[in-house]
Amino acid sequence: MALIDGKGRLFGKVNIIDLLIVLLIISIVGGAYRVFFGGRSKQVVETSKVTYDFEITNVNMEFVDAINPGDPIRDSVRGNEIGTVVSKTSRNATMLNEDLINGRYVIADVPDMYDVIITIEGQANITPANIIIGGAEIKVGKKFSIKGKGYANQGFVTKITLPGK
Amino acid sequence: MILDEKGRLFGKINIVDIGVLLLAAALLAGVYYRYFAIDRHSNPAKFDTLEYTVMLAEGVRQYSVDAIIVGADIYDVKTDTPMGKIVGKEVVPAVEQLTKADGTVVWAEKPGRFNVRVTIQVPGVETKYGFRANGRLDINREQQQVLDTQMILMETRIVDVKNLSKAQ
Repeated sequence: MALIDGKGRLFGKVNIIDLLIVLLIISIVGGAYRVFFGGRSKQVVETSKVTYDFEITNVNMEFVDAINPGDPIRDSVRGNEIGTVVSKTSRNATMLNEDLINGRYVIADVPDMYDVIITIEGQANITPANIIIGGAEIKVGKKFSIKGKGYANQGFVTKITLPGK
Repeated sequence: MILDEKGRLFGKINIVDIGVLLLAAALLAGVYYRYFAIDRHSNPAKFDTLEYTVMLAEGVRQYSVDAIIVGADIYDVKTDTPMGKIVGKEVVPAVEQLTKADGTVVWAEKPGRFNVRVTIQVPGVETKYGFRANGRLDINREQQQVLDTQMILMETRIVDVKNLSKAQ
């Protein structure tokens, strides 16, 4: 028997293109499984409440006042809820400026502007590699766009507190 | 005849089908090489211990310094595959060249900012072409690398690499 018959069927049984499509689908499904569920480090080893600090810089007092404990916080891009506001602290916004007369850097206050640190608590899936809340990986240094009730902005995660630590 | 009137190679399979088949095979091979292939000169059982040092982006703040924990595992940012472990952290005040108003240049310290060197150990191989962590990730000086632990994600620059197994 020919390897591929006159109708393009492998060993006269299955069409080579059909076989190719099936292989591609298996590859895609396998790849998706690996990305979302595969590997030791992807396995959820603990589900727990995690608190993290989120810093938004250089905003006015109206913005700071709009943030209230209990506000649900969502990831602006995905729309998923990534926790609830526990508390907030604010301080004068600052800039690092050059003092060219004396040859040094100085920290200067920005009048009427503030840096706000929002402490957020969320239910997290904790793996060896990641802390995931609402589908988002929470890591120090990671930039997020968030939105709460009547406010939205970008900022960075600055601290993560794991349960019992 | 190599190609018949229907465009079939040796009258068996369509030349376009072969092209699609080869393309799919190349894609699968590429994915395998990128994510699973290990240096063909190496055997995981024979990996050496490589130690390399990275510099975080210059002038990071205290919270970034605090999030780098000696002993933490590091992961491949794309696949979350465990790569190695942080074994050292050196923190110094960030300084930068500043040209004063009189034209002289000084090293000026940036208050509240730090330069951080992180030392990482990974299993890997040293070949005549260079160093490969876990046999698949190149480690080259001046190469950008994302430092990914459970707690932090940060851009770094590799400044040094050596084979500890050879040094012993």
